[in-house]
Amino acid sequence: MKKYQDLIQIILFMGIITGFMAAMFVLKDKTFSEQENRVLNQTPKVTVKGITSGKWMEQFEACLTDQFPGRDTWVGIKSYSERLSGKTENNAVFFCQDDTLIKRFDEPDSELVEKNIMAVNQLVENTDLPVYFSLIPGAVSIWDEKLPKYAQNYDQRALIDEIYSKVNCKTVDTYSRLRQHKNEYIFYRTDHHWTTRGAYYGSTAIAEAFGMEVEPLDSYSSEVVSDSFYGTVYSSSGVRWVKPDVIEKFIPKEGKTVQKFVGDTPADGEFYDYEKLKVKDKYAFFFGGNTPLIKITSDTDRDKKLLVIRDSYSDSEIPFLTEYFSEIYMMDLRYYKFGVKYFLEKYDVDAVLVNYSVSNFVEDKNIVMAGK
Amino acid sequence: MVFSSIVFLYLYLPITLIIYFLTPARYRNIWLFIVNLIFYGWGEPVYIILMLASILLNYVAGLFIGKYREKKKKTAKNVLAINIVLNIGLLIFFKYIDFIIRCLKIIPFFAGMKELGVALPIGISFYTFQAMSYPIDVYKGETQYQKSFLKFGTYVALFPQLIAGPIVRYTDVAKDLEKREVHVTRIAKGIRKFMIGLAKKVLLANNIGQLWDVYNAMEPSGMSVVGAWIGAFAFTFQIYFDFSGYSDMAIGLGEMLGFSFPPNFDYPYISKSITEFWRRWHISLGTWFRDYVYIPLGGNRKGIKRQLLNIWIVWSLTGLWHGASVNFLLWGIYYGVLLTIEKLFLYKTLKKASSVFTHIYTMFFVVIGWMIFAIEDMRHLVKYLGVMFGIGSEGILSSQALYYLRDYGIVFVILIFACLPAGKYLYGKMKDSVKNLLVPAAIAIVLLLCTAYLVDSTYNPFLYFRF
Repeated sequence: MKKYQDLIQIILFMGIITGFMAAMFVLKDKTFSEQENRVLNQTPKVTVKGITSGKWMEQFEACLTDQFPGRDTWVGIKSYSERLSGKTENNAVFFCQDDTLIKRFDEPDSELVEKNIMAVNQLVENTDLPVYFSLIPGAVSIWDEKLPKYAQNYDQRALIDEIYSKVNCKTVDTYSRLRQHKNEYIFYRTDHHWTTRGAYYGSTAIAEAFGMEVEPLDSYSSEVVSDSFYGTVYSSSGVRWVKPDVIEKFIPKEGKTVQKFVGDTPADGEFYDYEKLKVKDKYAFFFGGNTPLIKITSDTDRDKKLLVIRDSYSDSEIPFLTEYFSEIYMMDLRYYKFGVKYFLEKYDVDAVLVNYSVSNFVEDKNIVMAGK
Repeated sequence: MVFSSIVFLYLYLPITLIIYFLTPARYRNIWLFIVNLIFYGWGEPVYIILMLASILLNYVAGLFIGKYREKKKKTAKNVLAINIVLNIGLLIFFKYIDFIIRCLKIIPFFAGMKELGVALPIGISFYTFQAMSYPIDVYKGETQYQKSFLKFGTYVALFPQLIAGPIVRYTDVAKDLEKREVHVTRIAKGIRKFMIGLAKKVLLANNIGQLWDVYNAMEPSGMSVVGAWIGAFAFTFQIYFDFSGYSDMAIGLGEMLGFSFPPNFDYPYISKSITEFWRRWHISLGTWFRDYVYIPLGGNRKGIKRQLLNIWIVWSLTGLWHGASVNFLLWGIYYGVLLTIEKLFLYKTLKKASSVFTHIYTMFFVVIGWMIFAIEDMRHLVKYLGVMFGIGSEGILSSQALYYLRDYGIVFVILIFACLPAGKYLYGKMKDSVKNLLVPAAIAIVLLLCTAYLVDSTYNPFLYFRF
């Protein structure tokens, strides 16, 4: 091999490594990654203790990789490369049919599941009100036909049956209802949530469990509020070759008032938050994001008050429930720290609904608060 | 610090190389000594002291032995003996003390002993062996003693081979420490070798390692026979590409800096016997034990019984060298037994047997060996090996095994190809005009792909923001 060929190789290699090093020095640290939905590590301050303990080096390395130029692009390259090498899974997300990304569901921690079941049973014991319990299966279970062949997942259907057999309250068969409509666009292809349409079917299962007559879907007019939604599964998969999701709304916000509670003090809240459609996390369109407690009053003729202890799947489902309940409280146990008992003493409701997606119910450590 | 990290590739390496190349030749050892200590101290800064102590210990011993070996042979011998005891003592204290205490606790008298919880200094097994080779070789008269502390320190702490080999002896680099040839052809050769190693580690070993992680975490009773073998082969590939990739990177970095390191792997998985396998696997360790343990014990010169005993001692130590745990000892003894059998009669038979059979025979025992190596928990190991032979398994073939076969099918094909000398052969046949295009393209692609995988490994979306 000729000498100038060697020189080319040296220049190429040194050029790439010094080029990126220079870029790192020149570029300013970013503080937040939308794609990853987290605060990025910043250059740590130099201290003697930090250096001698090795802590500084650790933080520095974390910062360096967080701030590496073109971070999101590298992640995209990696997932392409994985697909090229025949993989059907990247970062625990399956590449599925119809441009769909579905998060893998692994065997849950059985101890935590038992704890959460006990918390629900404790809640039933603490109150004389009727308690309803609904577990919402994910796309991994309802859309299992879209998964790659032989894909390995823990069976959510069996898990729901097992949990339902252990709780002492009325249960809602959301699974069967969603399964009946599996050929419709009921889950986002790039997010772990259900679509507004999926949420509608979920709400009909709840209405039936309460013995109410269900409103048909075509009694509402639908409106597309966003056609450029890339959700959380898109972020974690690193996949960049799928088309975005569409967010719809069915229920008009007219006739509803929303109050957000900080402590026991109410403040005005949004039924739909159009500002959120401009940022990455567009699902926050429904009620505008995390709040410990929200109260929705609607102009329905039915006079019934409901407490929903819930995760974010309820955000798109509650608008439909305003047809059946005149007052709905939505409680998020991650942020509402007074306990359900305190709430029930203070506020007036006719029934309690525990409404969780399967994956959150078996993973969330805050559900113990339901029994407190 | 490890080579396969962003901080090494995009900060440490460019700074180290650029300043090294710009520094006049006679000051380069000073720069190397400094960056060596930074490299070593990156993870556990306090252990720089241990490193310096190890350097000083062997440097002083070398001085004494070098001065007295002619006139006062006995004094030199005593110094060497003390030095070896101290070296091994350090290694035992930092690597094996808790293992020894755990073993002693089985005896009721010692049951009250507490483990010390000493954190294993990175690379101690490697650099202790490297440093020790020096006073021994000085004693044997194979090399002059080194007067300069700086040069000796640069050798012991030399960052390319510091933490994962090859085990470079002082005699390998004694000349390079005085004067090094650094020129374009050599640097480019080093870069090519480094890129091969980086690709082996990041693109192959880490990739297939994920599959082994899956099987290693699984309860063996839930596996099918085929699944257990997929897992075993996954680890077999992972350990080879991880280890040999690291050696290649070390050798390549050495070349860039002007050092020649001995080769460490020579396509071990094409071996036709276990004896041959160990001539091709981790060569620098095998020859170290041969020269510093096996031959001093008498080797094969004192009759077959003594030879077998020597083999067994060497292999028990080889096993333990890999880790302070019973399974590593077992793994060493396993090879001691296999090599004894080959030595006694099988090797001759194998030479006449068909190569299909000898390849299968060798890989079969190598793969089983890796399971003993990989699984520290004895009960888990027995169950896993059982499942590989259909005992307590969940059928022959499960959909789970099919899933992983399908997902890793292409990767397995690439891994098998990379184990063979075929790539090297094709490269040799290639026309220069093709090479001129292919090599730069390969350097760029491998470097960028590895960067993508390294960045992705810290990609950690926080999804619970909104559940």
